[in-house]
Amino acid sequence: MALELRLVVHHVRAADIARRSFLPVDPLARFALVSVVGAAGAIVTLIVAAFGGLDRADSQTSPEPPGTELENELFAVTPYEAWVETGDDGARLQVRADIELRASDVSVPMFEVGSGLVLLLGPSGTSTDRPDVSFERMPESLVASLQPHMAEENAVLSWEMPEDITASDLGEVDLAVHGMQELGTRDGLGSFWISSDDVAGTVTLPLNERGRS
Amino acid sequence: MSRSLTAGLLCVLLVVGIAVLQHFTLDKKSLFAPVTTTGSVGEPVVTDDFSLEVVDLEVGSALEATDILGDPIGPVEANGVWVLVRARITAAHTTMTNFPAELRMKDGTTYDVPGWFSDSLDRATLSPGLPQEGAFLFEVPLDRIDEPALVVTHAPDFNRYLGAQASVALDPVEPRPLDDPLVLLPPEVRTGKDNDASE
Repeated sequence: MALELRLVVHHVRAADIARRSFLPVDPLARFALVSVVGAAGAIVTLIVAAFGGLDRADSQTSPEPPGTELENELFAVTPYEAWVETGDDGARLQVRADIELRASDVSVPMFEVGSGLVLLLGPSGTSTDRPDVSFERMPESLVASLQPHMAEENAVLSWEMPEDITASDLGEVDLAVHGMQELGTRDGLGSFWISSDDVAGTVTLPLNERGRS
Repeated sequence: MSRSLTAGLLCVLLVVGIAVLQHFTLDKKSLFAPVTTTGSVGEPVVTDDFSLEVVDLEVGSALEATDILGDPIGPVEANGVWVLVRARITAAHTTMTNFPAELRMKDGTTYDVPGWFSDSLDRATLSPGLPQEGAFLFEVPLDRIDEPALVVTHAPDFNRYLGAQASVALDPVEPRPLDDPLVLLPPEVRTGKDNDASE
């Protein structure tokens, strides 16, 4: 009884292997493919960059109704109503709002706070920032700076009406609160706040008839 | 062998030396920060540029004063309380015009003088040697008053670099709001033998 062992060696050609990669077999073709894809990607990137780059997705796209609190990295504001006030120095857009400096333990000049309070006027895209601010209990005096952690109710924010816009053009205005960031001064002794392009939130305010002329 | 040992030892010594010396370097803030002299109520706090003596402190919810045009206004309700810090201040060598005052709490929260009233003592012009008595005015939420200190800094040309600064601890003054409105009167020049803040 002889035990016969037979070893069968089956040679498979490269072309018969099930292809798992989409890359061509030929190294030269692979190199060409990678180069073309890379070049195409670079061109697309360059085109996007040439047209100003990608925009950050808005965290909040739809405006909120009056009475909604908007908060950024520095302060919170709750706008209630808007009207046009016509006085000796021309027309002014006014907004009644609660406002509080939350994220700072020292006072911040109104000029810096106001850079984040942007009023958007109608579909033309006109906007104006840095309102004058007065408080209800001291209506004739402007507020120079907001003190920390003091919630002020019924403050009046007031913007000069841009020259190319008249009150009758406007049915409503949008108050947009922009993000803020704190920068240190070079001497390390102080800091100041500037607004960013990010919008923390927007409230649409119909213009009402409160204005006295 | 002993040579490399010596070199190694020297290197270690150098590194330790550098680490120790590093502790003595000042950050930028400390290099330029105002030079503070501290004191308490009722005693003159003498800095290089001025001396300051806090007389007393009043807290109230309403205030009578004059506005920046000099017209009488009031009583104005506080959003919180008004804090009047009565004090006497004397410039030592030069005329002082810009010496901002702050009310600084234990946790570092700091309140400025609101810009509404012209009679707050920080608006005065101080001639050398002539003591002025008046009040610094602040508006503060009542629950934020916690071991407050009055901090006055001489900042000529709005520059606080190494400015003379007096910090007066107002503790243990009990903040108790008065029922009657506080009255902010304009600063007055006080000369006479009763003055001890000009030394």
